[in-house]
Amino acid sequence: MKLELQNVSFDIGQERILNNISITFNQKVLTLIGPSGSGKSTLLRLLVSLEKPFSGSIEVNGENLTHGKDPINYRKKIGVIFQAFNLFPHLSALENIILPLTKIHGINKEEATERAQSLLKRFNLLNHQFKKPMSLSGGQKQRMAIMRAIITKPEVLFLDEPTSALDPEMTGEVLELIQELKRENMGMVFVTHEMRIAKKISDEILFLNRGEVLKQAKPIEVFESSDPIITQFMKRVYL
Amino acid sequence: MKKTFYFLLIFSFFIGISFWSFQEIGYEWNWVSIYEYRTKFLEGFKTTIWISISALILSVFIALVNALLLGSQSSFLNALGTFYVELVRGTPLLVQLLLIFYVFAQSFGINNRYLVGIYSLALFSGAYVSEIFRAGLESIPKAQWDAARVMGLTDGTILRLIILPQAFRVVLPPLAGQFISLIKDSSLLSVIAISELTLNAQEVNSYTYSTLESYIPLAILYLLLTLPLSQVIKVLEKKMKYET
Repeated sequence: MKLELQNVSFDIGQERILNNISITFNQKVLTLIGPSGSGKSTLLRLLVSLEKPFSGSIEVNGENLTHGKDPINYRKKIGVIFQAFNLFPHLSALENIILPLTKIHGINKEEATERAQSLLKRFNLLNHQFKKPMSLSGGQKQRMAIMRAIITKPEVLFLDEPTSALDPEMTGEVLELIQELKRENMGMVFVTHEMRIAKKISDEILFLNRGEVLKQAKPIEVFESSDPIITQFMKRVYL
Repeated sequence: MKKTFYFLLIFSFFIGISFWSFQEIGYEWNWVSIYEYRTKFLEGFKTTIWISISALILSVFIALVNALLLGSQSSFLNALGTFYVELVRGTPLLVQLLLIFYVFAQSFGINNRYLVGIYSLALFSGAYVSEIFRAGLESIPKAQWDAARVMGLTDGTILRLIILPQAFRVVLPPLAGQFISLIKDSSLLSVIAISELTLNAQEVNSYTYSTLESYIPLAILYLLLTLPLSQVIKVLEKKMKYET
């Protein structure tokens, strides 16, 4: 995965949310951490083309996201996981998962169903395929959402705090799945508060503070940083 | 099952009270002369049905167009949509009917009172229906749009596959209420001399001087239209439930 951000700024109303962010990243897994309100989720929204930067330029895998209308072709090549799952409540789990295949990638329903079912089987979710999201647990919902995002074999998976709406047991289920994806070598940009997994799967960690990059480095360097803001943050999340 | 039983129990109680009340005031029924005019009721009933159905369908179209106006980027179209909703919702249907029929339609040389009646009723109901549609669309969280957009779906497809099916379920109950109102509001068309159910009942009353005997069948006939409509919508609602 290749990320190239130059002097990216973003405002909401009068408030500056991201200020002059420049990132270069050319490995597999980049994790964004930092205090609440530091702009992690906003940065992710920019990276998945749901928002346009106020100034600066963004390039992901050679695709420029700075100008122009909705970059449909870029969106077809990525997968996005949201904090609140965002499954479609009127469709069954299976229908949710095959929707991107049948409606965007032009794969017929039989083949899409087959692919979805083999994926569901692998992650032990096959018994739940016909349930509507309402009758799934939080952990099952998020795992279904991940299935929906990875079934199109995306180049990059973007995850926006995928476990922060879940209790510890369900968090475990979802993190296990994410580690499995890491083993499969999937490119990921991961916003999280789960420091242990951040340490384990990231090639680099990017620490954001008040809309600016405080540090971008290998996990060990970030965790052992002597920067007072980072040490204070680590103390709090490890409490 | 239990609910049906209670419903019948309450219904019988209501009938009982009614009979007792009429007995108390010593009302003398005169059903015989009313029965002579049964075809008048039937004709009016038929007219009410087809006028209501036409106005109902038309009002949905008007509402869709107006929902587009309200949601459009142009502030002129926005203002137009808002003007329509506020004007129609804020004034009595009676006044609208009289003005549309005796002033606007006449000045444009439109004399078909049935046509004018149907359009007036649809215009009136359309304002409410468009607000119901708008509320329904807005009730779907923005996150649903986000999730669908990042997959690479176009806005039109998102609307068709994701948003409208969910919004449809939300708008059903208020829509049912609005359609029932429309059927009853069609009774006001009597003021522009459309011989629908209410006008015909009024006429029977003036021939026979049997007021209640003319109007009680009127109530029952309206119920015959509105109750099945409620039932149909209830069944639809159940079908649309998300639980498996």
